[in-house]
Amino acid sequence: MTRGFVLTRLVHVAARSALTYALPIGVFIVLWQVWSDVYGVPQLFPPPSTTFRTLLSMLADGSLVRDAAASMARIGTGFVIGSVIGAFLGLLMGSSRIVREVLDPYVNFLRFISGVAWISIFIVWFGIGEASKVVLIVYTTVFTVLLNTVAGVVAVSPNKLRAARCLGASRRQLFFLVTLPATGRFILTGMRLSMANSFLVIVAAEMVQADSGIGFVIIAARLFLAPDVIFSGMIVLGLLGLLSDRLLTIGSWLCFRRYYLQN
Amino acid sequence: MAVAVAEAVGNSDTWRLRARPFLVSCASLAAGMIVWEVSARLYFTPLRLPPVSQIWARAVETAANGTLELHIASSMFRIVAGFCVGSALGILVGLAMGVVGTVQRFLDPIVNFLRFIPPIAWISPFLIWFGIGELSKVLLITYTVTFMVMLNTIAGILAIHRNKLRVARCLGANRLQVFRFVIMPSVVGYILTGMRIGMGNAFTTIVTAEMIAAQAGLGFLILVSKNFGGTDLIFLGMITLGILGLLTDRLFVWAIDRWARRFYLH
Repeated sequence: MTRGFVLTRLVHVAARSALTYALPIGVFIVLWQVWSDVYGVPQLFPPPSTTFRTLLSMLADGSLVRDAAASMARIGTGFVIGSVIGAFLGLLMGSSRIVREVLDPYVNFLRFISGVAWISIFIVWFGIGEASKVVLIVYTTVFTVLLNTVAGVVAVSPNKLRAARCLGASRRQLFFLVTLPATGRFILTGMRLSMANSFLVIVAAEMVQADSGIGFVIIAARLFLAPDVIFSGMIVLGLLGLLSDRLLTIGSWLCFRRYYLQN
Repeated sequence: MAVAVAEAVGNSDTWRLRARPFLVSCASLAAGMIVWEVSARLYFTPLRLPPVSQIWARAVETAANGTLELHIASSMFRIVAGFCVGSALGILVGLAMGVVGTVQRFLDPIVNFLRFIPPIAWISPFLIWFGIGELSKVLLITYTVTFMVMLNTIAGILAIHRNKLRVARCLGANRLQVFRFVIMPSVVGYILTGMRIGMGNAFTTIVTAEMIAAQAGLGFLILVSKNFGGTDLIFLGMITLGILGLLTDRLFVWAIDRWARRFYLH
């Protein structure tokens, strides 16, 4: 391969991604501007220029970073604890029939009560501080991870288990060397789905009761009638969600690549 | 007793697959309720954890004076109205994006970014633009459902095997016929799945919306009860929400099984 060839390829790729990303986003921003002009009241529907100026100033004075960090700390803590509990319970439910049958009605009922509905009761139990918000994220994370883990354990091909047993694996080896690695990908899928839910729930929780965090920024700005601040908060929220989703996808691919190839 | 039940249901397979899990579930739920009732009476004040019997008494009381029905009706009206509009919009936009390649390529980055902004975050701008009345809540549900249905519709169209489209073209189908006889039947299953997930998400969204700005609804009941220490009412609201969510989901599954089964057999 010559250097020139590589260079042309690079230019091609750059040009194409510029077209596929920059063009739609550019048009979106233009439409936003036009729509805001048509709406006529910039105080209620700020144009992109005002929003980006606000976004930059909020980034510059550090307030946005502080609020984003507060939200991410809550999500991070709850997410890790919830994933561990969810994966553990899921593996237990997947491997033991009696545990599955006992816990099944609870899981099937509780998953219809979204984390958001627990906000009030968690505030009564754990106070208005950080604890109630972290517990809320734990609750949200547990169910999605748990359901996906159970699905993963059930999806392990019986032939693999039989093969391992024929080769003399004990029950423990069967679990740690066959079931667990094959389930990893499902656990990570569950974690990815619940990451999206965590963002939703933390925003709701911070709107209802908090003095920091992106959700708080969004709801407080409504009271001051500052939609540019609201939009800035939403943009940061979207970016953080996108980023954490991509990180989990890449992490899943790196850790469990060889299990992707089987189907 | 186990033997008697097994004989009653006929063969051991039914027993193993149906009757036993059902009995264990019932026993497990009953045990859970008893533990809750006893521990609530012994160790907690009703403000922290009211016993099941107290919640039940509250349910009977509020159902008798009509407040529970009022909250259920306001929440369900918002959900159903937003759900219908959102499903219709989601199907239209999803089909347009899936069928016309240019539209898809063009909207993809925008959709992929908006997807990560939770619908709840829109509540502030919606309240500013559409006021604190019903409209902003219904629109919030519409947005929630539209997105879910749209994403699933696109996924459904992308999942159609190319050879199916090619076969139809080879046999002389025009674009309209390909759409009507190949694309539509394969996509219906995905659309219904999207609607089912969207309905589940609508319940999450409406609770938050009602917590932030409403005068009635289950979310309002849950939040307001906290302010005057009605923990039993909070639980009542949560359990009602869970039952409503479970019922609508089961109703959906039943309806799909009854009328749309053939779209899932491929």
